[in-house]
Amino acid sequence: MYAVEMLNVTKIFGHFKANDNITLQVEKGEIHALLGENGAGKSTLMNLLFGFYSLDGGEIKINEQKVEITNPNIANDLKIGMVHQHFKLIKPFTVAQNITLGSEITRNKKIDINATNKKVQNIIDQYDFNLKATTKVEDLTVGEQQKVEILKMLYKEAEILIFDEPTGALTPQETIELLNTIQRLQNKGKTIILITHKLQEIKAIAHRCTVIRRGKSVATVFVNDCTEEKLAELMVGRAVNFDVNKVDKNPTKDILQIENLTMYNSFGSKTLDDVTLNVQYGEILGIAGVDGNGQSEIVEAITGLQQVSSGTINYISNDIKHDITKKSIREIINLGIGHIPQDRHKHGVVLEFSVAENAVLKRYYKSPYAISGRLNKNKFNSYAEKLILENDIRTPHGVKSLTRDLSGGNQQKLIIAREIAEQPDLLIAVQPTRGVDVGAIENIHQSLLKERENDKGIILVSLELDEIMKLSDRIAVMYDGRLMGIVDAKTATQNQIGLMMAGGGTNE
Amino acid sequence: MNRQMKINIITALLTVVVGLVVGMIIIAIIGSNPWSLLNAIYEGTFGSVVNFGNWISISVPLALTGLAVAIGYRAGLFNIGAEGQFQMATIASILVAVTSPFNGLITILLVIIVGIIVGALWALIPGILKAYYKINEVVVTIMMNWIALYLTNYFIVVHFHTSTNLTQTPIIPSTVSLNLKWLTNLTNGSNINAGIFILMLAAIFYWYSVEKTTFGYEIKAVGNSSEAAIYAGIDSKKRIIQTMCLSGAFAGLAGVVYALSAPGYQTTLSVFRGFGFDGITVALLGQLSAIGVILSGLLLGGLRQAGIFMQIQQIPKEISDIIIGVILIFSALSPIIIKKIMKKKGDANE
Ligand SMILES: Nc1ncnc2c1ncn2[C@@H]1O[C@H](COP(=O)(O)OP(=O)(O)OP(=O)(O)O)[C@@H](O)[C@H]1O
Ligand SMILES: [Mg+2]
Repeated sequence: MYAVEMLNVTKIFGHFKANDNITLQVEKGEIHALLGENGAGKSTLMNLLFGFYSLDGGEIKINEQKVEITNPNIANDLKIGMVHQHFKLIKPFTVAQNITLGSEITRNKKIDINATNKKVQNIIDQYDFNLKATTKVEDLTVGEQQKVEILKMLYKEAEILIFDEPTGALTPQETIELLNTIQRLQNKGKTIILITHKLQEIKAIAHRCTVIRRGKSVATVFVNDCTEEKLAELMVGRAVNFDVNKVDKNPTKDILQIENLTMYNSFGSKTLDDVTLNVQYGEILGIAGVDGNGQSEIVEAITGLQQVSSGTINYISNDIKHDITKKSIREIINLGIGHIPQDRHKHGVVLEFSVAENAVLKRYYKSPYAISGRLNKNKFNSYAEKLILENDIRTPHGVKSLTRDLSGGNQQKLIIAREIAEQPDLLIAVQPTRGVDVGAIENIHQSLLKERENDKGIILVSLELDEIMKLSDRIAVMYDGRLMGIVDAKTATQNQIGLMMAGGGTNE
Repeated sequence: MNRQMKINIITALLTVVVGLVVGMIIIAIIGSNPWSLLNAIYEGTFGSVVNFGNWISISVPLALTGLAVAIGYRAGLFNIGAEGQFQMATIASILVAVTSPFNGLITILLVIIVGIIVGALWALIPGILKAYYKINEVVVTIMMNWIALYLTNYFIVVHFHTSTNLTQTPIIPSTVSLNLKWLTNLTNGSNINAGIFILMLAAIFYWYSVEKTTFGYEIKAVGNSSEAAIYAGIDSKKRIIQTMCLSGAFAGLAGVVYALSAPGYQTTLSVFRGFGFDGITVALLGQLSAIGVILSGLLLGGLRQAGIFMQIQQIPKEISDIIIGVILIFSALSPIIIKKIMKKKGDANE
């Protein structure tokens, strides 16, 4: 029996068909993966199922009954739940308060806190979630916050659970835990739709997988019958090369020297403790570590986003040393330092700007984009046009599209394209492949290697050890604000780095 | 015209209609003829040549404070202080106009410059507090409004009044007024004056700086996402202060026009004149566009005119304020409503 059937579904934005006659059939009790390139229409399809958008064609059946889901409340009533990539939690509230929000347990018109906590704790225990109902959400890790989101669905007794790129913000450990959780939910009879760009995740837990390409459904396959390569090929329409080829390089000259860098946060506690490291022209320096161990502080210190407490950062270009700790952000950019930021929505783009306006975010004031303060928007457009063409950035209405209307992966591709087009000598890439499809990952990896080939310096911060080990020449490992050591990527093992990331092991 | 624009215009019109309907309902409740509202609006605007001229004249400072609020909004700043900036500039303008040793034209220019500077300075304080100490500009500008109100009252009573009336400033010499003979004659002696040309210049300046300059690009970046703006190397602190001052300058210009128009003097006040506050409605209803601001300035001017004619028919003129209030609420809500419609349809652009 099918729990969800979306039959010949179409969704049109303006003149753009985001979903074109898509059919998706999900059996009750299965884990069904949705796979497709950035901008293929996966999130749109799920937003239709959850009632955020209205259908322009086709029909939806839930448990073999035709339904009209015109708003999310109807989806709730039909026992459909959705976990969004950006959590919707109230930080100062407790776990129990967040979960019961909107359907509170009351006695005499007052919220019954004890009963609430007890009921929520029951559900938590029932699903082995290892959380306390009374903890405040602000004290939880990202992975735990996601559990709260899942619990919100379970509290509303959802039977059909939608996950849109749930592992995007998680550490590898948290990812494994989440996949286990999803499997446990399936064992309890829930039906699950999982959107992810990570093929291993699909292989690990999904039963069937529907592939979408440019708004059309191209195939639904049994995951067991398919290799990762086959899945990738179905999705992109060509074979994807997972291996990278790295030319040999013998870097000798430093581009960046960080000495005794120490930073404090606004509460006065140390976030970075006496870090000394260097980056060379023509190398990729990977920075590995569990999220929140000082990586972002290093990046923000170099780019000028955060004030340095003590220590020096020297940037060397044309054999001249620049102390950049006292320089403004714009001066640092103009010295040739590019930055692909971790949080694309916060830093990388102005969502309310058009694609063209965001494409020139770092050069809008320079000639020919502006001449003595007067903008030349035609030049914005032609520049952006070139970027989206060369980097296969998919937009609904070309460079005039609102950046908010781009799919998440395409926003990320826009940022990367912009930063590389600025031709920085030092490129700082933080989680550059987060949320992008395997085809685009291949391109991004290749671009980074090309920068290296052209003798640029690259700092790659990533939570994914695989990515770091594949691309880096040397790997710096961070733990608790300290540099645990720098290892040679050729000889280092996953184990060794994993140990250092946990605060053990040293640099030999 | 693209779809977004159409939706914006339709929501603005609907907002006005809702405001008028609420006004008419209230008039009916107090036992008068609801249609007299529309009649009063007509009388006050197109009813006669004089009324027409007076209507335009009252609308000019409203549109100028509208521009003041609008430019702040672009940078994410909510300048509730246009009222106080207006007030300070008005009194400064009258002071300069009365005491200036120069001839008419030079004095007018001097008044304009002083008014702009005083308005900008009054906004500088909240600007600095916002940029460097993250203190909410709404709170600070509200307090600055009260300071402006009582400061001007104090100044009038203690230092700057006529020999016969402690609560009134001297009147400006007629050579300094913005009246233009041909305009006055053309409108049978109405209050319309050169203020409309000042407004046009100001509106062009607003449009040009917001849409065509790097400054406009930067303040919009700061307004929409200050983090992304900082990341791009934009000096957001500087831009916040500059925008606040520019906003104050527009409000100051409104004060100049008001001061140099009839009646040409200022009295002590127990309540605000409301030009700055109405500027909020004007900016939001005009959806921050130069043309929109001018049109909604005219609308609010029309409502103020209608107040006068309602009074003649024994209907309280405060009905106008109620309508303006309703329009403000719905204009403030309209982005949310628009988003809701667009989201459903998904037609975010074109
Ligand atoms: N509100 C909107 N208005 C206009 N176009 C939109 C809107 N929402 C999405 N689109 C467009 O529809 C297409 C599909 O977007 P969607 O977000 O569904 O992609 P996706 O498959 O989830 O991609 P990703 O893997 O990058 O998240 C994209 O080209 C996107 O730009
Ligand atoms: Mg998506």
